[in-house]
Amino acid sequence: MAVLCRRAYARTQNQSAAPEQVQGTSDLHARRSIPTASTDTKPRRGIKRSRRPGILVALSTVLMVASIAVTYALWSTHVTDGAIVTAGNLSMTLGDLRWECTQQKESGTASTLPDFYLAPGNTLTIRQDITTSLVGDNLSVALSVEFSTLPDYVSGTWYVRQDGIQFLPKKGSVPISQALVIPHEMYSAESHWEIVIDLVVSPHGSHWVDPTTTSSAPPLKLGTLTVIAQQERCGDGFMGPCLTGGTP
Amino acid sequence: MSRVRYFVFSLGLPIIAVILGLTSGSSYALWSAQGTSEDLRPQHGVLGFAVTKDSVVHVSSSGGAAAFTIGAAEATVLFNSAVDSAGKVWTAVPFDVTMLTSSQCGMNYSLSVAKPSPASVLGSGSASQILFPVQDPSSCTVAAGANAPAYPGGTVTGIAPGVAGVQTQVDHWCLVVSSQPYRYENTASASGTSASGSVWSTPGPNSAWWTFVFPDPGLEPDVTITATPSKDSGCKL
Repeated sequence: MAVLCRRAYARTQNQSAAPEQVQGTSDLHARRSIPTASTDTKPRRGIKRSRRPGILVALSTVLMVASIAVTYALWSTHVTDGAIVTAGNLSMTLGDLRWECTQQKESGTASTLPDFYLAPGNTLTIRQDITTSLVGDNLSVALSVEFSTLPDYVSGTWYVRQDGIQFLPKKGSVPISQALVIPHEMYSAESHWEIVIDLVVSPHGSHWVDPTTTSSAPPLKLGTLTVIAQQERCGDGFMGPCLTGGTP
Repeated sequence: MSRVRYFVFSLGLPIIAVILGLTSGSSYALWSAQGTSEDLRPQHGVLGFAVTKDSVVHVSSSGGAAAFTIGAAEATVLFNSAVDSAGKVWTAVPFDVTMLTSSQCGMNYSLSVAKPSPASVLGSGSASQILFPVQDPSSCTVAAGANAPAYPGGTVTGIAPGVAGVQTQVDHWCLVVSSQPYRYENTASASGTSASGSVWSTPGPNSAWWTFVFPDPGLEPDVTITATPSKDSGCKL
């Protein structure tokens, strides 16, 4: 505060005088106009300058924390006076995994897959059971699947069934790189669904080995299958609608 | 302080701080759940074909033919063998054909023996090559070749298609080779001229001699025996 007052005093004193005519207590302004050989070449404004960034950083920190609190507050304070509030829920667990290959008329579980030999052009169908709990007003959830190490010569599509009936998408399938938004009419406290993934192996390299020393080639590493249920900001109360049975 | 720095510190930082706060607070509010399976590792379908002779394996490359040769070693055996009453020498050469299939593929193959040069040991006279299957390599003998049904040529049935998992099969074969060396005969006699004219001697029992003549076995050219695999029509490998 002392610094600010001094600046105002200096300006008042020197409003109509040329800098070289300033005398007496207007030493601050005078120093700016006529540098001297004094070692004290920096005016007191330099001291103010060093404090200003610190103040701004502190102010910014306060604003950032307040912003976080504000956004967090949007989620936790949405309460209707006099209404009963029920907590929403989004959870999912994986069940059994099965596989089949119609060309070779073979099928099995995850434990028997290492004993199965795929040929180019074969389709490996993977069926992953999941149990979901989707509860919440204005809650929109998208499902997606991914393999951790899928080779580039293996392509895939997928869809979702319940009780043997496909509901997502309503017909056909989508690439495994594409997520699907679950229709609201399918939300419930507990649902049992089947993720169906069709993987096709394209021709890739030679399959001939020395039969006297080996009976296999390096395995086809699909990696682990991860099924993800992710809340999406779409539908009522958001900028855009959810594409039921399609991408979010 | 320059105007740019003034703007950055006095206005820019707070604005950035508000944006960071809003975005971090808003992303924290989204729900998600996921589950991960065990590692999924099926096998690549594979095929394999090879012929083995004298413990040396000759592997088919990408489904092509696999072959081995006979030559100087077999010619030397013939050279050192006793000539039978028919004027022939014989030797037996065992070899194996190994097959491997998967992805329900089947595999057959065919065999062929190149014709040796008439100027070689293996091609001398009325030389012959008899090819026939045996139960094991020890059954491959010259005597067995005398009565065994010879391979007539064409496709040999290997592994049948439609079987899951990996299938392997080893077929044992025997190649019996005969050679008929050339016979050289010579009868010695002497002649002289007497006062009454030329007189020839009467060859004695030991004046006639003969021998078998072979080309140099050390210079024997190789003869190739080729095995060619073929997949069943439904195999995708």
